[in-house]
Amino acid sequence: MAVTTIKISNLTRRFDQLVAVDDVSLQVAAGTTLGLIGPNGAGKTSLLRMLATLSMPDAGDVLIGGRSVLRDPRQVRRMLGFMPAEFGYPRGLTIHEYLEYFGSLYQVPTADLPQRIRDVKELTDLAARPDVAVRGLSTGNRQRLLLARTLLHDPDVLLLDEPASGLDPRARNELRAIIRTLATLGKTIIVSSHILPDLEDVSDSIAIMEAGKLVVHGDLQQLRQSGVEAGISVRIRVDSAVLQQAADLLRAIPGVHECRIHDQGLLVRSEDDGGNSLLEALIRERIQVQEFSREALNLEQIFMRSTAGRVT
Amino acid sequence: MKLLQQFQMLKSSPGYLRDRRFLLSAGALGLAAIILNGALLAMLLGLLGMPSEVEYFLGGARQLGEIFSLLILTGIFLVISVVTPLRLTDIFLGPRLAGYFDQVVLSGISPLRFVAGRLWSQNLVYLVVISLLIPWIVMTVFLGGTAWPIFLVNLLLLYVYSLMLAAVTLWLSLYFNELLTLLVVISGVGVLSLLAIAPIPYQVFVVTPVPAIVYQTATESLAMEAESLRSFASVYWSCLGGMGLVTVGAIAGIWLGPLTVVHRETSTFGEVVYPGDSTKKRWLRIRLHARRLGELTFFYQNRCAVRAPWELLFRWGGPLAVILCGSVIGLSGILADYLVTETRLQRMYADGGRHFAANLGYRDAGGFLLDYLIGIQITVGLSTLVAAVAFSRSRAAAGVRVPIGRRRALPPLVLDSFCFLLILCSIGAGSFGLVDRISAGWLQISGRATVMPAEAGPMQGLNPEPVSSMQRVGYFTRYQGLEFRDMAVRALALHLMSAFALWACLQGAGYFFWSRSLTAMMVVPAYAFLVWLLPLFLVMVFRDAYFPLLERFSWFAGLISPLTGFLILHRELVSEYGTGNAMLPFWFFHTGICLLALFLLRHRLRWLQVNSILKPVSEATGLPPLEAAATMAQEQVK
Repeated sequence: MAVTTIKISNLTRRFDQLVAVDDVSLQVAAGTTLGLIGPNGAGKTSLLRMLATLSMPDAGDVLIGGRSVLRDPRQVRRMLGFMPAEFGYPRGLTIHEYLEYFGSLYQVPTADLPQRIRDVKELTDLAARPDVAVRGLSTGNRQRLLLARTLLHDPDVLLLDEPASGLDPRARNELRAIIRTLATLGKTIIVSSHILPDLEDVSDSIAIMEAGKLVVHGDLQQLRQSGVEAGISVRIRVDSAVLQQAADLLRAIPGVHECRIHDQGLLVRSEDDGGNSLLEALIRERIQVQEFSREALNLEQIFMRSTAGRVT
Repeated sequence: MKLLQQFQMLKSSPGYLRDRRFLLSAGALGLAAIILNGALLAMLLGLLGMPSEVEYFLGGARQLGEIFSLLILTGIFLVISVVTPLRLTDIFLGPRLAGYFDQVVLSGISPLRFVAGRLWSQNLVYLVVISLLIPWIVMTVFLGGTAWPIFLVNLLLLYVYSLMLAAVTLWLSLYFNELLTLLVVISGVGVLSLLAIAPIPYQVFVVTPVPAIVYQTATESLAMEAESLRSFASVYWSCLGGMGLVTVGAIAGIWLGPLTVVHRETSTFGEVVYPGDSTKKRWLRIRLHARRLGELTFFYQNRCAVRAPWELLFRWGGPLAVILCGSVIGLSGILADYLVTETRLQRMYADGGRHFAANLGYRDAGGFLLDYLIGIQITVGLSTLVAAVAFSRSRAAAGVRVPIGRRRALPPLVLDSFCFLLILCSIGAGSFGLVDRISAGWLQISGRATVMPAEAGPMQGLNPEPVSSMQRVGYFTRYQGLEFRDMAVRALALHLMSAFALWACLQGAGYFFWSRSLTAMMVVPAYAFLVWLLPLFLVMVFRDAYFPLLERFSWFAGLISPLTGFLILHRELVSEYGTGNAMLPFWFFHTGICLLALFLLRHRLRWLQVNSILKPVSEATGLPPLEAAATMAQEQVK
């Protein structure tokens, strides 16, 4: 079981005048999966490249397994498997030769290499496929091969940059299954994507970036329940005759951001942590409450609520 | 056991694995065999068909075997010279263009191991080619005229040559794109091969096997006297030694990593883009290609850690030792010159001679000391140049400290600052002293000036009567009399250069020239070139046309270059404003420039202070810049 933790402290990266990553701090517990979300240009890839020791932060530091990417990059690299968004490969190789090439690059012992190649092919569902030229592979199979290559040296930490990019729904589903399998093997994983349903299934925690800043970070279940910084979300069902009256009443309560009629009920977003003031107001006006429930947000709602559409 | 491990390392190198797929595949080898045998057959048939032309060309009757073996060796040489660089130039650029260089970096593989496989497969290809040649080699025996031992030894030299060329190509590919690497290697080999067979008396160091290949034929063709020829053994050892040294040097160069790379990273994805790039072909974007941080860290962080503590020695100590050796040789030459001159003068005096040649190159003890100091200054200056390059921005950008011994490490910027100070203190005086020496030497050689025995004589016990061999009274050089003004001009020029260098660094030129020390190094020679060397060059080359012009526009010329002033002081040039004011234009104009430079420097420093230091504090505290500065000062005091 891996015990690696990722600790990012005040990480900043600039490209001339552009601040790609702006004072980001977060932690990833060992053996968990962090979903890194953000629109294009949010700074996800810049952040991952710094974690992967491929880019130097202008400020801050990252500790991976207790080792600094600044002071001990070579040791950090040994723990890392980085799957970039782009698929680069030496020309003219077949799948097996490709894995053999990267196996030797990662200095996998010659005696272990054939077995290791078999294992990663099995894991990524490439074993049954013919040993064809890499150049002719479909996008889905390329992503599989890229992931297989990333796993060749059995790293404890996986940094997957947009792994589902360009994949069809079936391939994305298969990729999610592979990531879940890797999580069960105890790998600490950071997956970046802007395809939110992909991350919802596989992530233990979520970090949302926008314009280089980390706007939300936390456990996915907690974020769903808490409705992110904007307050709680409550679903209230009352008699249809008083629906409009109830809506007007709730809108007048200080701290209510939003109250709209939806599916014969009310959807209320409020600052009030427990929703007590809402319930109190309805009872005071003798409106019969048929249902009063906290609504769990999905990832898309969390994302939409926490971002403002800014890009760097 | 260790050797076996090294062998395993070569066999499991990714480069070898890839070459095994292409270069060492049955198809590729089969094709090579067909082409090779076809070419050799064509050559043999050609030789058999035109024996008289060959005899005419080689200048005498030869046995067919000798000519054929020469052609085989030359053919292998040419193929190696072209194919090796062609095959290896993309070793670092290829992964980058194909988009997997980051994985090479992340794999932790050392640069040497990364390239070792390609070198190893090179060896195998060479062995395969030799094995394919065996029937033809045997045939040369039957054709007659082949000196067998020489032929076999030449094959060995060609093998070393292929290794050397591979190592050099790999090393150069750290710095250049494929096209430039190819051009540099192939043209370099061509030039060096021609030089190697040129009739230069002391060919102790040759870096191609050409002299050994053509040895037998050339000696017979030229019908040289036996005693004037070098033995084959000496040719062989000089070739082997030269190529071996270059190979080791190139491998050490790969281990050290790129020394002079300009780091530039403009986007997350590491694309380095300049204006107008989209309209250029990739081949025409001539630039150093390893510029991204990830690529640089590959060379610095992934290499073998065992030898890391010796990096300082490799990077700075090695070149410094070479420069010092050169300096010692140069200074020995000066000393020998001094002693010989001294002896000659004294002999002439002892013979009762009243005249001595103008170009005798006389130096007194003070002059010798000055030469020595100049030599030292230049040595220090050149070593700082090497250091500036070695600890350049690439290293600083990679953020990797430079180990000093086993426990300590210094940031590259500290070393850069140290070098910068050394440059300002030393090389200015050194270069000016050198130019002064060159100009004085030229004046003596050209007969325009002679030593004045009236001043030198009493020290050396010579005849005090001033006589010139050119009998040009009034053209005597008064070196001793010039010392104060000479030094004052130098001091002014040195301060000016320092101010310019600092200003250039602060202007951001340091970014383009990799480091402050290197920026200073660029500014100082540029200044020296403009005010000293260029006017001197013009005087030397176009003196007949130049001197009238100088006399006519001496004020203007004097503004730009102190050389004009010196010529007037030396009475080489007649000036309307007289000898006493010879340096006035230079002083006047350059003091103005110096003040301007100081003003610009101050202006730049203030700008930097406001924008780089005070502005962030001002924004953070909401205070005006001056108050922010006061707050900062108070906090620092606390």
